[in-house]
Amino acid sequence: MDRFEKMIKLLDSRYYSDLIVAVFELIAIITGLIYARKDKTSVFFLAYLIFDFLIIIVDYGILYCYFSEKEFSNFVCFTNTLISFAELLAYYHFFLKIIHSKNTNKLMKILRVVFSVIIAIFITTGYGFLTNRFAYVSLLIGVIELLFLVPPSFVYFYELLKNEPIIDLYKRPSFWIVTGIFFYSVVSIPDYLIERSVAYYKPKYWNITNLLLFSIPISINSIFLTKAFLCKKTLTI
Amino acid sequence: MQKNADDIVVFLIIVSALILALAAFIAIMVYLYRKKQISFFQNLEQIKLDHEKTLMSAQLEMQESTFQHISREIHDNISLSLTLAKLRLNTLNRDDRNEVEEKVTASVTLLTQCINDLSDISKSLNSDIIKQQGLTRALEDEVQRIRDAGMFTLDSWLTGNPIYMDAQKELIIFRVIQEAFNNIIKHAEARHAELSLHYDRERLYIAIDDDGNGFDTRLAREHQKAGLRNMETRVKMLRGTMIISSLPEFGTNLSFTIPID
Repeated sequence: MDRFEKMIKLLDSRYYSDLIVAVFELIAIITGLIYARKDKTSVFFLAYLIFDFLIIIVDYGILYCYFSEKEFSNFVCFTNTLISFAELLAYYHFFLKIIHSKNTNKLMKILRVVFSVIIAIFITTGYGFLTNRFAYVSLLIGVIELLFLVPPSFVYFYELLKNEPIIDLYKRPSFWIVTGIFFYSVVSIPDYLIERSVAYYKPKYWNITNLLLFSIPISINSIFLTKAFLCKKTLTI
Repeated sequence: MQKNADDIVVFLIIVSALILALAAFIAIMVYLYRKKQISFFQNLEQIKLDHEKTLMSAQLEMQESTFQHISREIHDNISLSLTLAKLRLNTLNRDDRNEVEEKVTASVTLLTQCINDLSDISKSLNSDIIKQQGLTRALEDEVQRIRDAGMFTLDSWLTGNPIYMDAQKELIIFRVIQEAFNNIIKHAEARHAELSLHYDRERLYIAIDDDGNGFDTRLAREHQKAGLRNMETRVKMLRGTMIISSLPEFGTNLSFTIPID
Protein backbone atom coordinates (compact mmCIF):
# COMPACT_ATOMS: atom_id res chain seq x y z
CA MET A 1 0.00 0.00 0.00
CA ASP A 2 1.57 3.31 -1.01
CA ARG A 3 1.58 6.38 1.20
CA PHE A 4 -1.37 8.02 -0.50
CA GLU A 5 -3.55 4.92 -0.18
CA LYS A 6 -2.55 4.59 3.48
CA MET A 7 -3.56 8.20 4.12
CA ILE A 8 -6.89 7.83 2.27
CA LYS A 9 -7.63 4.66 4.25
CA LEU A 10 -6.96 6.53 7.50
CA LEU A 11 -9.12 9.47 6.46
CA ASP A 12 -11.87 7.13 5.34
CA SER A 13 -11.84 5.28 8.65
CA ARG A 14 -12.16 8.67 10.39
CA TYR A 15 -15.12 9.79 8.24
CA TYR A 16 -12.79 12.31 6.56
CA SER A 17 -13.14 14.43 9.70
CA ASP A 18 -9.56 15.77 9.51
CA LEU A 19 -10.08 16.67 5.86
CA ILE A 20 -13.29 18.54 6.78
CA VAL A 21 -11.40 20.47 9.49
CA ALA A 22 -8.56 21.29 7.06
CA VAL A 23 -10.93 22.44 4.29
CA PHE A 24 -12.86 24.80 6.57
CA GLU A 25 -9.64 26.15 8.05
CA LEU A 26 -8.29 26.77 4.55
CA ILE A 27 -11.49 28.66 3.65
CA ALA A 28 -11.12 30.76 6.83
CA ILE A 29 -7.45 31.46 6.03
CA ILE A 30 -8.19 32.54 2.44
CA THR A 31 -11.12 34.72 3.57
CA GLY A 32 -8.95 36.23 6.31
CA LEU A 33 -6.12 36.99 3.89
CA ILE A 34 -8.57 38.71 1.53
CA TYR A 35 -10.89 40.52 3.90
CA ALA A 36 -9.31 40.82 7.35
CA ARG A 37 -7.96 44.18 8.35
CA LYS A 38 -4.26 44.02 9.00
CA ASP A 39 -4.48 44.72 12.72
CA LYS A 40 -2.73 42.72 15.45
CA THR A 41 -5.82 40.64 16.35
CA SER A 42 -6.43 39.56 12.74
CA VAL A 43 -2.75 38.70 12.34
CA PHE A 44 -2.91 36.59 15.54
CA PHE A 45 -5.98 34.71 14.31
CA LEU A 46 -4.51 34.17 10.86
CA ALA A 47 -1.22 32.96 12.36
CA TYR A 48 -3.13 30.52 14.59
CA LEU A 49 -5.22 29.23 11.66
CA ILE A 50 -2.21 28.84 9.37
CA PHE A 51 -0.24 27.09 12.14
CA ASP A 52 -3.16 24.71 12.81
CA PHE A 53 -3.64 24.04 9.10
CA LEU A 54 0.06 23.36 8.50
CA ILE A 55 0.19 20.97 11.44
CA ILE A 56 -2.78 18.98 10.05
CA ILE A 57 -1.06 18.79 6.65
CA VAL A 58 2.30 17.79 8.14
CA ASP A 59 0.67 15.26 10.48
CA TYR A 60 -1.45 13.48 7.92
CA GLY A 61 0.51 14.18 4.75
CA ILE A 62 3.96 13.24 6.00
CA LEU A 63 4.34 11.94 9.55
CA TYR A 64 1.58 9.35 9.44
CA CYS A 65 3.59 7.40 6.90
CA TYR A 66 6.73 7.19 9.11
CA PHE A 67 5.28 6.43 12.54
CA SER A 68 3.39 3.47 13.87
CA GLU A 69 -0.32 4.16 14.38
CA LYS A 70 0.06 4.39 18.16
CA GLU A 71 3.12 6.66 17.97
CA PHE A 72 1.34 8.78 15.37
CA SER A 73 -1.70 9.12 17.63
CA ASN A 74 0.52 10.27 20.49
CA PHE A 75 2.40 12.64 18.21
CA VAL A 76 -0.91 14.21 17.16
CA CYS A 77 -1.61 14.74 20.86
CA PHE A 78 1.70 16.61 21.14
CA THR A 79 0.96 18.82 18.11
CA ASN A 80 -2.54 19.38 19.50
CA THR A 81 -0.89 20.78 22.64
CA LEU A 82 1.06 23.26 20.54
CA ILE A 83 -2.16 24.19 18.72
CA SER A 84 -3.93 24.60 22.10
CA PHE A 85 -1.18 27.01 23.16
CA ALA A 86 -1.44 29.06 19.94
CA GLU A 87 -5.24 28.97 20.20
CA LEU A 88 -5.31 30.21 23.78
CA LEU A 89 -2.82 33.01 23.01
CA ALA A 90 -4.83 34.17 19.98
CA TYR A 91 -8.21 34.04 21.73
CA TYR A 92 -6.96 35.60 24.96
CA HIS A 93 -5.38 38.44 22.99
CA PHE A 94 -8.79 38.91 21.37
CA PHE A 95 -10.75 38.62 24.63
CA LEU A 96 -8.43 41.13 26.35
CA LYS A 97 -9.35 43.61 23.62
CA ILE A 98 -13.12 43.12 23.74
CA ILE A 99 -13.91 42.52 27.41
CA HIS A 100 -14.30 45.65 29.54
CA SER A 101 -14.32 43.98 32.97
CA LYS A 102 -10.97 44.76 34.59
CA ASN A 103 -11.19 41.76 36.92
CA THR A 104 -11.78 39.35 34.03
CA ASN A 105 -8.87 40.87 32.14
CA LYS A 106 -6.62 40.51 35.17
CA LEU A 107 -7.75 36.90 35.59
CA MET A 108 -7.12 36.16 31.90
CA LYS A 109 -3.58 37.56 32.16
CA ILE A 110 -2.92 35.29 35.15
CA LEU A 111 -4.45 32.25 33.39
CA ARG A 112 -2.34 32.96 30.32
CA VAL A 113 0.82 32.87 32.43
CA VAL A 114 -0.36 29.71 34.24
CA PHE A 115 -1.11 28.00 30.93
CA SER A 116 2.27 29.02 29.48
CA VAL A 117 4.02 27.58 32.55
CA ILE A 118 2.05 24.31 32.21
CA ILE A 119 3.04 24.05 28.53
CA ALA A 120 6.68 24.87 29.31
CA ILE A 121 6.82 22.18 32.05
CA PHE A 122 5.07 19.70 29.78
CA ILE A 123 7.50 20.24 26.91
CA THR A 124 10.75 20.58 28.89
CA THR A 125 10.20 17.62 31.19
CA GLY A 126 9.22 15.49 28.19
CA TYR A 127 6.90 13.37 30.32
CA GLY A 128 7.80 10.31 28.25
CA PHE A 129 7.70 11.73 24.76
CA LEU A 130 5.33 9.83 22.42
CA THR A 131 4.00 7.61 25.19
CA ASN A 132 0.45 7.07 26.39
CA ARG A 133 1.13 9.08 29.54
CA PHE A 134 2.25 11.97 27.32
CA ALA A 135 -1.01 11.71 25.38
CA TYR A 136 -3.07 11.79 28.61
CA VAL A 137 -1.31 14.95 29.82
CA SER A 138 -1.74 16.47 26.38
CA LEU A 139 -5.50 15.81 26.47
CA LEU A 140 -5.66 17.25 29.97
CA ILE A 141 -3.95 20.39 28.69
CA GLY A 142 -6.56 20.54 25.92
CA VAL A 143 -9.32 20.38 28.53
CA ILE A 144 -7.66 23.13 30.60
CA GLU A 145 -7.33 25.33 27.51
CA LEU A 146 -10.99 24.91 26.57
CA LEU A 147 -12.08 25.44 30.17
CA PHE A 148 -10.06 28.68 30.20
CA LEU A 149 -11.92 29.83 27.08
CA VAL A 150 -15.46 29.32 28.40
CA PRO A 151 -15.60 31.98 31.21
CA PRO A 152 -14.44 34.90 28.99
CA SER A 153 -17.10 33.84 26.46
CA PHE A 154 -19.77 34.10 29.17
CA VAL A 155 -18.40 37.48 30.28
CA TYR A 156 -18.54 38.67 26.65
CA PHE A 157 -22.18 37.58 26.31
CA TYR A 158 -23.01 39.27 29.61
CA GLU A 159 -21.34 42.52 28.54
CA LEU A 160 -22.99 42.28 25.14
CA LEU A 161 -26.40 42.35 26.79
CA LYS A 162 -25.36 44.98 29.32
CA ASN A 163 -23.93 47.56 26.93
CA GLU A 164 -25.75 49.70 24.38
CA PRO A 165 -26.64 47.52 21.38
CA ILE A 166 -25.74 50.02 18.66
CA ILE A 167 -24.38 47.60 16.06
CA ASP A 168 -26.44 44.80 14.56
CA LEU A 169 -25.35 41.53 16.19
CA TYR A 170 -24.83 39.71 12.89
CA LYS A 171 -22.52 42.48 11.70
CA ARG A 172 -20.27 42.18 14.75
CA PRO A 173 -17.18 40.02 14.06
CA SER A 174 -16.65 39.55 17.80
CA PHE A 175 -20.08 37.89 18.16
CA TRP A 176 -19.23 35.26 15.53
CA ILE A 177 -15.77 34.62 16.94
CA VAL A 178 -16.98 34.22 20.53
CA THR A 179 -20.00 32.11 19.52
CA GLY A 180 -17.70 29.84 17.50
CA ILE A 181 -15.13 29.33 20.24
CA PHE A 182 -17.84 28.97 22.90
CA PHE A 183 -19.62 26.26 20.90
CA TYR A 184 -16.35 24.47 20.11
CA SER A 185 -15.11 24.64 23.72
CA VAL A 186 -18.31 23.42 25.37
CA VAL A 187 -18.87 20.55 22.92
CA SER A 188 -15.23 19.45 22.76
CA ILE A 189 -14.50 19.33 26.51
CA PRO A 190 -16.46 16.04 26.89
CA ASP A 191 -14.60 14.67 23.88
CA TYR A 192 -11.19 15.47 25.39
CA LEU A 193 -12.31 13.92 28.68
CA ILE A 194 -13.64 10.65 27.26
CA GLU A 195 -11.34 10.29 24.26
CA ARG A 196 -8.82 7.88 25.87
CA SER A 197 -11.53 5.82 27.55
CA VAL A 198 -13.37 5.49 24.27
CA ALA A 199 -10.13 4.58 22.49
CA TYR A 200 -9.38 1.94 25.13
CA TYR A 201 -12.82 0.46 25.90
CA LYS A 202 -14.87 1.18 22.77
CA PRO A 203 -12.34 1.85 20.01
CA LYS A 204 -14.98 1.46 17.28
CA TYR A 205 -16.79 4.55 18.60
CA TRP A 206 -13.66 6.66 18.69
CA ASN A 207 -13.93 7.95 15.13
CA ILE A 208 -17.60 8.92 15.36
CA THR A 209 -17.01 10.56 18.75
CA ASN A 210 -14.10 12.51 17.33
CA LEU A 211 -16.17 13.58 14.34
CA LEU A 212 -19.19 14.70 16.35
CA LEU A 213 -17.48 16.24 19.35
CA PHE A 214 -14.29 17.62 17.88
CA SER A 215 -14.14 17.89 14.09
CA ILE A 216 -17.63 19.30 13.51
CA PRO A 217 -17.43 21.88 16.36
CA ILE A 218 -13.96 23.05 15.27
CA SER A 219 -15.18 23.25 11.66
CA ILE A 220 -18.16 25.33 12.86
CA ASN A 221 -15.64 27.51 14.69
CA SER A 222 -13.73 27.98 11.41
CA ILE A 223 -16.99 28.81 9.59
CA PHE A 224 -17.80 31.43 12.24
CA LEU A 225 -14.27 32.86 11.94
CA THR A 226 -14.82 33.06 8.17
CA LYS A 227 -18.07 34.91 8.80
CA ALA A 228 -16.21 37.27 11.18
CA PHE A 229 -13.64 38.03 8.47
CA LEU A 230 -16.50 38.60 6.01
CA CYS A 231 -17.92 41.33 8.26
CA LYS A 232 -15.00 43.40 6.87
CA LYS A 233 -14.66 45.19 10.17
CA THR A 234 -11.99 45.21 12.87
CA LEU A 235 -12.44 41.85 14.60
CA THR A 236 -12.77 43.43 18.03
CA ILE A 237 -16.00 45.28 17.12
CA MET B 1 -24.59 -6.04 19.24
CA GLN B 2 -27.91 -4.64 20.52
CA LYS B 3 -26.10 -3.07 23.50
CA ASN B 4 -23.64 -1.34 21.19
CA ALA B 5 -26.50 0.07 19.14
CA ASP B 6 -28.20 1.30 22.33
CA ASP B 7 -24.94 2.93 23.44
CA ILE B 8 -24.71 4.79 20.16
CA VAL B 9 -28.32 5.98 20.45
CA VAL B 10 -27.73 7.20 24.01
CA PHE B 11 -24.53 8.88 22.97
CA LEU B 12 -26.18 10.56 19.98
CA ILE B 13 -29.06 11.75 22.19
CA ILE B 14 -26.64 13.27 24.71
CA VAL B 15 -24.61 14.98 22.01
CA SER B 16 -27.75 16.25 20.28
CA ALA B 17 -29.10 17.54 23.60
CA LEU B 18 -25.84 19.35 24.32
CA ILE B 19 -25.77 20.92 20.87
CA LEU B 20 -29.46 21.87 21.10
CA ALA B 21 -28.89 23.43 24.52
CA LEU B 22 -26.02 25.49 23.13
CA ALA B 23 -28.06 26.49 20.09
CA ALA B 24 -30.92 27.50 22.40
CA PHE B 25 -28.51 29.54 24.54
CA ILE B 26 -27.22 31.39 21.47
CA ALA B 27 -30.79 31.88 20.16
CA ILE B 28 -31.87 33.36 23.52
CA MET B 29 -28.81 35.61 23.45
CA VAL B 30 -29.68 36.84 19.97
CA TYR B 31 -33.35 37.33 20.94
CA LEU B 32 -32.47 39.35 24.07
CA TYR B 33 -29.96 41.43 22.15
CA ARG B 34 -32.45 42.18 19.37
CA LYS B 35 -35.11 43.09 21.93
CA LYS B 36 -32.71 45.42 23.69
CA GLN B 37 -31.60 46.88 20.36
CA ILE B 38 -35.20 47.65 19.32
CA SER B 39 -35.85 49.34 22.66
CA PHE B 40 -32.53 51.23 22.38
CA PHE B 41 -33.37 52.58 18.93
CA GLN B 42 -36.88 53.52 20.08
CA ASN B 43 -35.34 55.49 22.96
CA LEU B 44 -32.88 57.10 20.56
CA GLU B 45 -35.74 58.10 18.29
CA GLN B 46 -37.58 59.58 21.29
CA ILE B 47 -34.47 61.55 22.32
CA LYS B 48 -34.17 62.83 18.74
CA LEU B 49 -37.83 63.88 18.76
CA ASP B 50 -37.40 65.59 22.14
CA HIS B 51 -34.31 67.38 20.86
CA GLU B 52 -36.17 68.55 17.77
CA LYS B 53 -39.02 69.71 19.99
CA THR B 54 -36.59 71.67 22.19
CA LEU B 55 -34.97 73.10 19.08
CA MET B 56 -38.32 74.17 17.74
CA SER B 57 -39.31 75.70 21.06
CA ALA B 58 -35.96 77.53 21.29
CA GLN B 59 -36.45 78.83 17.76
CA LEU B 60 -39.90 80.10 18.72
CA GLU B 61 -38.44 81.73 21.82
CA MET B 62 -35.73 83.30 19.70
CA GLN B 63 -38.32 84.56 17.28
CA GLU B 64 -40.45 85.94 20.12
CA SER B 65 -37.47 87.68 21.67
CA THR B 66 -36.55 89.11 18.24
CA PHE B 67 -40.07 90.46 17.77
CA GLN B 68 -39.86 92.07 21.22
CA HIS B 69 -36.50 93.59 20.28
CA ILE B 70 -37.90 94.99 17.03
CA SER B 71 -40.98 96.30 18.81
CA ARG B 72 -38.84 97.98 21.49
CA GLU B 73 -36.45 99.50 18.94
CA ILE B 74 -39.34 100.81 16.85
CA HIS B 75 -41.13 102.17 19.89
CA ASP B 76 -38.12 103.70 21.66
CA ASN B 77 -36.17 105.09 18.74
CA ILE B 78 -37.78 105.03 15.34
CA SER B 79 -41.33 105.85 16.33
CA LEU B 80 -40.12 108.64 18.63
CA SER B 81 -37.90 110.14 15.96
CA LEU B 82 -40.64 109.93 13.32
CA THR B 83 -43.16 111.50 15.71
CA LEU B 84 -40.76 114.33 16.44
CA ALA B 85 -40.10 114.84 12.75
CA LYS B 86 -43.83 114.85 12.02
CA LEU B 87 -44.44 117.30 14.89
CA ARG B 88 -41.78 119.64 13.61
CA LEU B 89 -43.11 119.53 10.07
CA ASN B 90 -46.73 119.96 11.23
CA THR B 91 -45.88 123.01 13.29
CA LEU B 92 -43.95 124.57 10.43
CA ASN B 93 -44.60 128.26 9.92
CA ARG B 94 -44.19 128.49 6.15
CA ASP B 95 -43.89 132.28 6.30
CA ASP B 96 -40.80 132.20 8.51
CA ARG B 97 -38.03 131.11 6.16
CA ASN B 98 -35.45 130.70 8.92
CA GLU B 99 -37.74 128.49 10.98
CA VAL B 100 -38.61 126.39 7.91
CA GLU B 101 -34.93 125.84 7.20
CA GLU B 102 -34.15 124.99 10.83
CA LYS B 103 -37.08 122.58 11.29
CA VAL B 104 -36.56 120.84 7.91
CA THR B 105 -32.86 120.34 8.73
CA ALA B 106 -33.76 118.92 12.16
CA SER B 107 -36.39 116.65 10.58
CA VAL B 108 -33.89 115.42 7.98
CA THR B 109 -31.45 114.64 10.80
CA LEU B 110 -34.18 112.70 12.63
CA LEU B 111 -35.12 110.81 9.44
CA THR B 112 -31.44 109.98 8.79
CA GLN B 113 -31.22 108.69 12.37
CA CYS B 114 -34.32 106.55 11.72
CA ILE B 115 -32.84 105.11 8.54
CA ASN B 116 -29.61 104.28 10.40
CA ASP B 117 -31.53 102.63 13.23
CA LEU B 118 -33.58 100.59 10.77
CA SER B 119 -30.39 99.56 8.99
CA ASP B 120 -28.85 98.51 12.34
CA ILE B 121 -31.93 96.44 13.23
CA SER B 122 -31.94 94.85 9.82
CA LYS B 123 -28.23 93.95 10.11
CA SER B 124 -28.58 92.50 13.58
CA LEU B 125 -31.54 90.35 12.51
CA ASN B 126 -30.09 89.11 9.26
CA SER B 127 -28.72 85.60 9.71
CA ASP B 128 -27.49 85.34 6.11
CA ILE B 129 -24.08 86.64 7.07
CA ILE B 130 -23.66 83.65 9.40
CA LYS B 131 -24.67 81.21 6.70
CA GLN B 132 -22.40 82.88 4.14
CA GLN B 133 -19.38 83.96 6.17
CA GLY B 134 -19.60 82.15 9.47
CA LEU B 135 -19.89 83.03 13.13
CA THR B 136 -16.61 84.90 13.58
CA ARG B 137 -17.29 87.31 10.72
CA ALA B 138 -20.84 87.95 11.97
CA LEU B 139 -19.47 88.62 15.44
CA GLU B 140 -16.93 91.10 14.05
CA ASP B 141 -19.84 93.08 12.53
CA GLU B 142 -21.83 92.81 15.74
CA VAL B 143 -18.89 94.06 17.81
CA GLN B 144 -18.45 96.97 15.43
CA ARG B 145 -22.18 97.78 15.69
CA ILE B 146 -21.97 97.84 19.49
CA ARG B 147 -18.80 99.98 19.39
CA ASP B 148 -20.52 102.41 17.03
CA ALA B 149 -23.42 102.76 19.48
CA GLY B 150 -20.79 104.17 21.89
CA MET B 151 -22.49 103.01 25.08
CA PHE B 152 -19.31 101.33 26.36
CA THR B 153 -15.91 100.37 25.06
CA LEU B 154 -15.62 96.83 23.76
CA ASP B 155 -12.52 94.70 23.20
CA SER B 156 -12.65 91.37 21.43
CA TRP B 157 -10.19 88.48 20.96
CA LEU B 158 -10.21 85.39 18.85
CA THR B 159 -7.66 82.63 19.49
CA GLY B 160 -7.21 79.15 18.05
CA ASN B 161 -8.24 78.07 14.57
CA PRO B 162 -11.90 78.83 13.88
CA ILE B 163 -13.84 75.72 12.89
CA TYR B 164 -16.99 76.18 10.85
CA MET B 165 -19.96 74.48 12.48
CA ASP B 166 -23.46 73.84 11.26
CA ALA B 167 -25.09 77.19 10.29
CA GLN B 168 -28.06 76.56 12.60
CA LYS B 169 -25.68 75.92 15.50
CA GLU B 170 -23.62 79.04 14.72
CA LEU B 171 -26.83 81.08 14.55
CA ILE B 172 -27.85 79.89 18.03
CA ILE B 173 -24.38 80.78 19.41
CA PHE B 174 -24.60 84.18 17.72
CA ARG B 175 -28.03 84.86 19.26
CA VAL B 176 -26.78 83.82 22.70
CA ILE B 177 -23.89 86.30 22.44
CA GLN B 178 -26.30 88.96 21.15
CA GLU B 179 -28.59 88.30 24.12
CA ALA B 180 -25.64 88.67 26.49
CA PHE B 181 -24.74 92.06 24.98
CA ASN B 182 -28.38 93.16 25.00
CA ASN B 183 -28.42 92.42 28.73
CA ILE B 184 -25.25 94.51 29.21
CA ILE B 185 -26.80 97.36 27.21
CA LYS B 186 -30.14 97.20 29.05
CA HIS B 187 -29.12 96.47 32.63
CA ALA B 188 -25.39 96.66 33.29
CA GLU B 189 -24.56 100.35 32.75
CA ALA B 190 -21.08 99.13 31.92
CA ARG B 191 -18.20 101.32 30.80
CA HIS B 192 -16.14 98.51 29.38
CA ALA B 193 -16.84 95.00 28.10
CA GLU B 194 -14.77 92.19 26.59
CA LEU B 195 -15.60 89.30 24.30
CA SER B 196 -13.18 86.44 23.81
CA LEU B 197 -13.51 83.31 21.68
CA HIS B 198 -11.14 80.38 21.75
CA TYR B 199 -11.37 77.38 19.44
CA ASP B 200 -9.67 74.08 20.11
CA ARG B 201 -10.22 70.83 18.21
CA GLU B 202 -13.22 69.78 20.25
CA ARG B 203 -14.73 72.86 21.84
CA LEU B 204 -15.47 76.54 21.42
CA TYR B 205 -14.92 78.63 24.57
CA ILE B 206 -16.68 82.00 24.81
CA ALA B 207 -16.22 84.54 27.59
CA ILE B 208 -18.10 87.82 27.95
CA ASP B 209 -17.05 90.20 30.74
CA ASP B 210 -18.31 93.61 31.76
CA ASP B 211 -17.55 96.06 34.55
CA GLY B 212 -21.20 97.01 35.06
CA ASN B 213 -23.69 96.72 37.89
CA GLY B 214 -23.55 92.96 38.24
CA PHE B 215 -26.31 91.04 39.97
CA ASP B 216 -27.02 88.33 42.49
CA THR B 217 -26.88 85.14 40.41
CA ARG B 218 -28.79 83.16 43.05
CA LEU B 219 -31.69 85.64 43.00
CA ALA B 220 -31.63 85.79 39.20
CA ARG B 221 -31.96 82.00 39.03
CA GLU B 222 -34.69 81.95 41.65
CA HIS B 223 -36.70 84.53 39.71
CA GLN B 224 -36.06 82.66 36.45
CA LYS B 225 -34.97 85.74 34.47
CA ALA B 226 -36.13 85.14 30.89
CA GLY B 227 -32.91 86.35 29.23
CA LEU B 228 -30.68 84.08 31.31
CA ARG B 229 -33.07 81.16 30.99
CA ASN B 230 -33.15 81.56 27.20
CA MET B 231 -29.38 81.61 27.02
CA GLU B 232 -29.09 78.56 29.25
CA THR B 233 -31.69 76.61 27.24
CA ARG B 234 -29.98 77.39 23.98
CA VAL B 235 -26.53 76.45 25.30
CA LYS B 236 -27.88 73.20 26.74
CA MET B 237 -29.50 72.44 23.41
CA LEU B 238 -26.02 72.56 21.88
CA ARG B 239 -24.85 70.19 24.66
CA GLY B 240 -22.75 73.03 26.02
CA THR B 241 -22.34 74.59 29.45
CA MET B 242 -22.88 78.12 30.71
CA ILE B 243 -21.28 79.58 33.85
CA ILE B 244 -22.33 82.96 35.27
CA SER B 245 -20.12 84.73 37.78
CA SER B 246 -21.46 88.00 39.05
CA LEU B 247 -21.78 90.09 42.19
CA PRO B 248 -23.69 93.36 42.61
CA GLU B 249 -21.34 96.28 41.76
CA PHE B 250 -18.56 93.93 40.59
CA GLY B 251 -19.52 93.27 36.98
CA THR B 252 -20.41 90.04 35.30
CA ASN B 253 -18.57 87.21 33.64
CA LEU B 254 -20.33 84.75 31.35
CA SER B 255 -18.49 81.65 30.13
CA PHE B 256 -19.79 79.21 27.54
CA THR B 257 -18.26 75.95 26.42
CA ILE B 258 -19.77 74.52 23.24
CA PRO B 259 -18.69 71.17 21.80
CA ILE B 260 -17.73 71.20 18.12
CA ASP B 261 -19.08 68.18 16.25
